[in-house]
Amino acid sequence: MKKQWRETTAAKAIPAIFAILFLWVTACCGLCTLLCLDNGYYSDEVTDHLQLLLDHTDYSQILQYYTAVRQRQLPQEENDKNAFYEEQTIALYQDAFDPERTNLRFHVTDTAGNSLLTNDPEELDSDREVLVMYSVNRRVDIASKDYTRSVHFTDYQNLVETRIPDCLEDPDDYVNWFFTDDLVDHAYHYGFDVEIQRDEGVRETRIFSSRAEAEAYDYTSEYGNCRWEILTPTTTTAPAEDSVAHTSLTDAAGSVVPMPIGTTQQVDADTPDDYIVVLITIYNTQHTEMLLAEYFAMKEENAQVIIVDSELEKRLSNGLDITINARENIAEEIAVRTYLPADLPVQDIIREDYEMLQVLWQYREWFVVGMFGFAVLTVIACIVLCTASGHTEGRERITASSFHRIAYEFFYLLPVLILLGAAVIISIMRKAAIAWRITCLFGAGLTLCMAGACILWLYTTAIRAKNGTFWSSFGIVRLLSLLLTLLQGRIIISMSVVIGAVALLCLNVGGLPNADPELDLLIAGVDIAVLVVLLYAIHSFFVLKDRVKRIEGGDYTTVPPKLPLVSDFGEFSRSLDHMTDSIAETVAQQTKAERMRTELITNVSHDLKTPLTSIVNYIDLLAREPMQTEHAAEYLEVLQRQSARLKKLTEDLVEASKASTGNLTVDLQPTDIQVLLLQLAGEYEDRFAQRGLTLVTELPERPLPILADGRHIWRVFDNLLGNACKYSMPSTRIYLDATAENGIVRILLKNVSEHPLNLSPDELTERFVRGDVSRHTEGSGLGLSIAKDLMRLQGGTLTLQIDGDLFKAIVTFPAYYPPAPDPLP
Amino acid sequence: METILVCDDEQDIVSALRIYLSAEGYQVVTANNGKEAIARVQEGKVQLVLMDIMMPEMDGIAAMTEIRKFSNVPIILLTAKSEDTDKILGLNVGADDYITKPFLPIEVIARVRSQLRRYLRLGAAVPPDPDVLTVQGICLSTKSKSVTMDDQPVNLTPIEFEILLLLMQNVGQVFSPREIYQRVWKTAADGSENTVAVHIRHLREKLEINPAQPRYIKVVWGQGYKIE
Repeated sequence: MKKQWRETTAAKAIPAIFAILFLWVTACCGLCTLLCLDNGYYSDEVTDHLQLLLDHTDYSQILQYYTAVRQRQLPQEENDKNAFYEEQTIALYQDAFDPERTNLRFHVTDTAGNSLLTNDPEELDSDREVLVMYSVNRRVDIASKDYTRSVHFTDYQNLVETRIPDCLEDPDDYVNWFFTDDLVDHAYHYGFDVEIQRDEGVRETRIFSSRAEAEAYDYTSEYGNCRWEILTPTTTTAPAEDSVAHTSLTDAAGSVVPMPIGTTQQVDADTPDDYIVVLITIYNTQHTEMLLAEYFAMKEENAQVIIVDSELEKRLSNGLDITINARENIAEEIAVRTYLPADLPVQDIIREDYEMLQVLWQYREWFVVGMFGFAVLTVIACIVLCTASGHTEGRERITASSFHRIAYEFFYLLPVLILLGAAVIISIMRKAAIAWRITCLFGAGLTLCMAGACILWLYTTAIRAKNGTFWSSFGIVRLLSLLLTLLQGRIIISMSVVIGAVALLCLNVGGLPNADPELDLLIAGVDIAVLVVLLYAIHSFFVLKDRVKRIEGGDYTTVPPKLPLVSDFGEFSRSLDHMTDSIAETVAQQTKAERMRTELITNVSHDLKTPLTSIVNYIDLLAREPMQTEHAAEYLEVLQRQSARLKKLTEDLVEASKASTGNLTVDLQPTDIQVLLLQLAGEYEDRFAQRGLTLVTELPERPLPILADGRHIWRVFDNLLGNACKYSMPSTRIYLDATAENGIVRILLKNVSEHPLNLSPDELTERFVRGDVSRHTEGSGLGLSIAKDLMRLQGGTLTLQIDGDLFKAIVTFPAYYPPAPDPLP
Repeated sequence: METILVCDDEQDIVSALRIYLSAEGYQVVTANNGKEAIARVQEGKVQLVLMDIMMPEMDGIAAMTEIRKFSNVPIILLTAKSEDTDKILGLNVGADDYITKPFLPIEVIARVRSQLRRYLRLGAAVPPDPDVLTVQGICLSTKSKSVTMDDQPVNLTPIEFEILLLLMQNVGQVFSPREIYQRVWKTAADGSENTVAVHIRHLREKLEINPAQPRYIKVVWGQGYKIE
């Protein structure tokens, strides 16, 4: 036979590979096309899309950073804490706002339009220092199309006040609470309350010899950002025994000023007016930042960087110890404008996205065309694959390798497994901040795997549908059918076991309130183990039961069970083995003995026949010779009679032994009782008449078909009617009739015996027994025995009844219902 | 006179058969086993073979197979085996008739005569007569309304003749008593078809050598009658 194209390996491999590739490319094209269609197709500017991207990247990055910070274990030591947060804060600044690292530019302004902060190098003013950066508001308005956007904190105050305070009390609560979507959303949108307790900075004192000198001194060049106050020392009298005067300071208004921290002066009481003391308070911005960071760390604070300009500094330098409620100051004030420079100078995520989208946008028509083109190719490859699947060279039928016998659910589970794996990898990647290109590569790999899984599913589905194992290849179907097989097809018991097991499992596992998952698992395991043992016990029981049933039916062969029987079941099975072995041996011996006896009888009678032939013939020859005396003739007559009887006896002996052992061919043919009785009557009419007997035959009104062997049934009735002829009282009637009821055809022969029947009916059918032993010389005494055996061989029965001198022979046959309307030819 | 080969390993039986057959005027040659029988037949002259099946050296079936290779002389098997399979095997291999032991001399003579007549008449090649129906040894002439069995005239009543005619016109076909009644008596059977069985029995007694083991008119019990 010519090798068909679909029988080649290439016919499966090539479409499969093509289909996977096409499916993959289709998926990629589809995704790209969707990206373009959704975000850029209707716009002339790819950068419109970029603006949307920004929403998802930068601000969320900032938030993610803080999330990461919060989730980590905090260092125990105070100093380590500070160092840690400082480091992280600086890293955050760098990632989010360092113009060397991001293309994102922003301006923070107050509502009056005064610039508060920017990271644009061209406008960056070294005088404007970053002090505090506040929460990010995601309520973004796209202000204009010049790649910028503004962020307003208009609703900030109300929302924060209603939602936030409680959650910050306990860090543990906070962590738990944080992970609800609600809080994530809230935190993302509005940030948190900030309480900043500022201290006064570092104080120093400087002593001048005269007031004029103190006033003329350039403090700024010496101390930087600071304020100062000229104080007048006042001397108080010390206790006598001390002899040291304590000095306090008074300001210009004459009120007493507390001594600066750690600067309690011991002044010589003798020189109260020798010098002027100047208190200088130095404000250091870096110091302030550190304080803030420390504060945030202590409070697990989520507030972001707070920006305070030089005007705020002025307010601080008023010398008051103030609490900055940052939100009050800023919420109503600032606006953030972010934008991208047109040339995207930095190679960051934004630029990568931009470049990719540029490429996508450039070839967007091709992606649409490609998607549809590859979709068509995918379909073609799939059709080719489905057509070729299952055809092997030299085999007419669909052949499936063992691979296609894997439980069918697996092919539905496979994509799920792939997705689960991908989810795990994605979660790892997110923590590790993997580069965009690697993410892309990963996505492509994932799509490829999914395409492969789809094609695998298609291929195996086609084969399963073709070879008709679609339903049966489901694992659950197999499991159930295995269960059915194990339970010997007892559906009700199988279902009871399954339902019971499931109910038990549900009750035990689901029914316990607040159960430990590990305990649940343990209980489920125990339940399943009990179920398995139960199934095994039921299975073993059925195996043994079937075995006993087979023994009852006479089948002594041992069929090895599908599962080995252990413990008591095994013992039971072995006992049965021994039992059947001995039974089978006995039966075999019996059968052998029976056969040998039959053979013996047959052989003996054969050997008897040859001399018998000679005897019969020579008696006949002798009869032709002239007899010397009268007695000789009389003796010869006895010889003739007895030799005839011997002849009959040997013939019947063989017949009887064959009939009793079933060593006869039985050819059952449709036979009509009506016709049979007619024929029997015709055969025996004359013989009955000779003995003065009348045969009364009552024919059935309609044909009564049975299945019988014509020769054997003739033999049966020949014996019965022959007996009736021989043993009936002369001048009596013999009745022969047939009836049919309940599917049984019954033929009844009745005659009146000439001599008393002093035997039971059972004895009559035993071999070599005759109704009257003394009288008759004709016949072998085997007739009724043969008749009974022949009836048995034909599936009928022969029953004899004796009621006084009334002898009844009842022959029954199962009624035969011929398939055709006219069964008799 | 015709020469008959009697072959049996039992010398007494051979002698008895020789006496009977000689008394009937046949020439008798004898053999004690299959090989001898083949040799005798090869010598020619033998017009009928009476042969036992169970014999030493070569049994009757084998010998018959050999004989059939060069001669179509009638062979009657003598057998102590009464199994049907033996009879069927013998007849299939080429026997013309069989007689089961222990046999009655009168039956042997009758069968020998029957076979010889048939053999010799076939040799004479009687031209086919459209008015004469022939089934084995039975010849029925529709013209003269006469029946012969192996050329011996048989006296039949008109009813018996009609039944035989019906059966011989449809060799092998089984007729139920009702059908036979309807076609012979030409009236509807109204319970009197039981006479058919009696007529058939009479017919068998007239035509068959051993009516208890009919060779021609057979009873199909529970179905009807046929001729073959």
